[in-house]
Amino acid sequence: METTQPSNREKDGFMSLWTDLSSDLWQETYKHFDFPIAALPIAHIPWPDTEKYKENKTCQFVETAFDNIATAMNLFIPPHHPAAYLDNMISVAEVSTQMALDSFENMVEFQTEWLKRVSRIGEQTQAYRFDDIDPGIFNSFRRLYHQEIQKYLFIPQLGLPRDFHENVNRFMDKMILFFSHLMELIYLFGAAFDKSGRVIQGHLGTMMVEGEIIENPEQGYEQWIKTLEGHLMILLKSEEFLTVLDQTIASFADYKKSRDDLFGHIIKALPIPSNRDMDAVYKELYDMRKRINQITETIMGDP
Amino acid sequence: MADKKIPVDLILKNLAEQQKKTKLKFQKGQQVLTGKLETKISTIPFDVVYQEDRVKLRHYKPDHVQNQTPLLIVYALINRHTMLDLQPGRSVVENLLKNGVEIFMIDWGYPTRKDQYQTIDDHINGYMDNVVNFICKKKKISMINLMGICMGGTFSVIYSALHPEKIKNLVLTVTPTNFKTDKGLLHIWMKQTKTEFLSDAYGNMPGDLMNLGFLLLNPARLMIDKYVGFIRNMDNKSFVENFVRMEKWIFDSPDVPAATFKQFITDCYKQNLLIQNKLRINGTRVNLKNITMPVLNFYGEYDHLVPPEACEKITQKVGSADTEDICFKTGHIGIYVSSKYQREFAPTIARWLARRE
Repeated sequence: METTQPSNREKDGFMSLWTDLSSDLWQETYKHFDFPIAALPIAHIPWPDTEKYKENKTCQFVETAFDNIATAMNLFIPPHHPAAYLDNMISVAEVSTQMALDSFENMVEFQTEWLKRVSRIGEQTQAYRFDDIDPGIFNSFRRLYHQEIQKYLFIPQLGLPRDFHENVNRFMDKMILFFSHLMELIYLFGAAFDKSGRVIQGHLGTMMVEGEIIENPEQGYEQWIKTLEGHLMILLKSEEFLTVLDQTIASFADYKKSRDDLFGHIIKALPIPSNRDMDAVYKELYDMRKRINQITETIMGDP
Repeated sequence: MADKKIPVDLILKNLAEQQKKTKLKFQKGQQVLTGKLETKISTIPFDVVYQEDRVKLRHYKPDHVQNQTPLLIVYALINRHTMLDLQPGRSVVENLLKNGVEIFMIDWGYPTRKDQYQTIDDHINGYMDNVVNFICKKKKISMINLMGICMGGTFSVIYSALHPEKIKNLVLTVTPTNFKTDKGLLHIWMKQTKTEFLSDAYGNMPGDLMNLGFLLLNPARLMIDKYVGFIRNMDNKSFVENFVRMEKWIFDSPDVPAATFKQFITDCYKQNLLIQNKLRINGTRVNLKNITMPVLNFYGEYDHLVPPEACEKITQKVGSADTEDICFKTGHIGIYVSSKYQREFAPTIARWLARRE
């Protein structure tokens, strides 16, 4: 199979075109500010020597930023190794594209699974059976979250607010996981309601076909609540439910702890003690009291 | 398809009648709900004779004391003792007093975050033992009768095994002692989930969270049907008053100290140590064979929280030869509040105690 590699000349031409375009862009951008602008070649542009400009920190910041861009652009103008540069650019583009494609594929996979599973809901209903419950959509979401999103929340934090940022990220992570489990738990309860409703609908349909009606609406309600109770009793004992309940409780405890840590961090700045501070005091009081009781018993004897 | 046709005129007639009835019910219900309702609970007079931190000791005096040995009632840490005196005419306390039983009752109060480190040992060898010593001193006696309710019954079993010299007779009601059963949903959940994590996260185990758990044991009845029933009977003043009293009691849920909750779940629900004589309280093994006093054991056949399997083993495991099991055909609360068992429960206890004075 033939492959076409761009020649160095083509690469050089491309680089020249690109740097020219970039220079034009920054010049145009520069024009939008009400500052004097020098002509090309891009270099340091002196700012008006007025007090107004000297005191304005924003102007100084923008000046420095443009200076840095201009310096960088000037470095680009004479491309010493344009071919190598372009190769690297292509690699960066490839990596970015690959990352985007991976994420996209995972998203598509998640969506496909979601659609597949959602379409299964309501396919058929057999009273007092939960075989067709498929909470896999929640597992798919969590898998996607673990693979694609969670890692960004655990990027090492740097600098003075590192601890705070880590607390925020941990809180976000635990919150997402807890709500995914909670939604799954609610979904299971919803499935029991859904099933009971459909069983009753089927029952009513059969009755209507046979020319019968429920004369008293309370009779219909009694049937529904009895069916619902039966469905829930089976659900609440099922392994699926117990697993989800356990995960919800554990993830809720984690979420609550991360939320408390975050709030504890925030209220550190306020003149009020945190739960952690008070817990330490309570523990000391508790231990102290036990010791006092023991000493009292030793001195006074058991009453 | 059958030849039968649905009589539309009949449906319309029914609908019109129902609409009329519903309208009347709501009108009357509105009058009931906006009128004066008597919904106070725990109305029988008592004295608070002892207090230690949040824990108070109530003293109820009968008009004529029949049993010389007073009865100390220990309620669970979950929900409140007010269930024993919901209303005049439907009160275990009232019936015991009528039968000449002098009652002391522990009010565990409302634990706060400061109480989170309190263990089962602090409740049993601390508060309970101090209360028993106080009663003995006050009445100038060396032994008392002890009656435990649910978790309070478990505490009473442990106390009687650790301090048998202070207990004359032991009455247990819906008391879980054997946790190795899959009959009650609660037992299954407690074993297969990490509920103890919640007490760590909160400091104490929140009462509201526990209540939510109890509601989820039968959501169709407890979260839907119960309130549908309320709407159906909202024009009945007496029904509304009873309903509100029950609601007041059910949702008056103190938090449980974290250390106690954790220990109860781990040692009892998960490891079932008590019935095997393996439970240790502050390092001391709880030997059920030390329970040599007479034991009367009540439980409910349809109890979904503490099923018979969880209650009935204890009388075979204790060291006493004088034991009796009584199984009522009712649920966890029915023993104390149903009209039928109101007539049986307290008089049976009074008679049983009187025979062992």
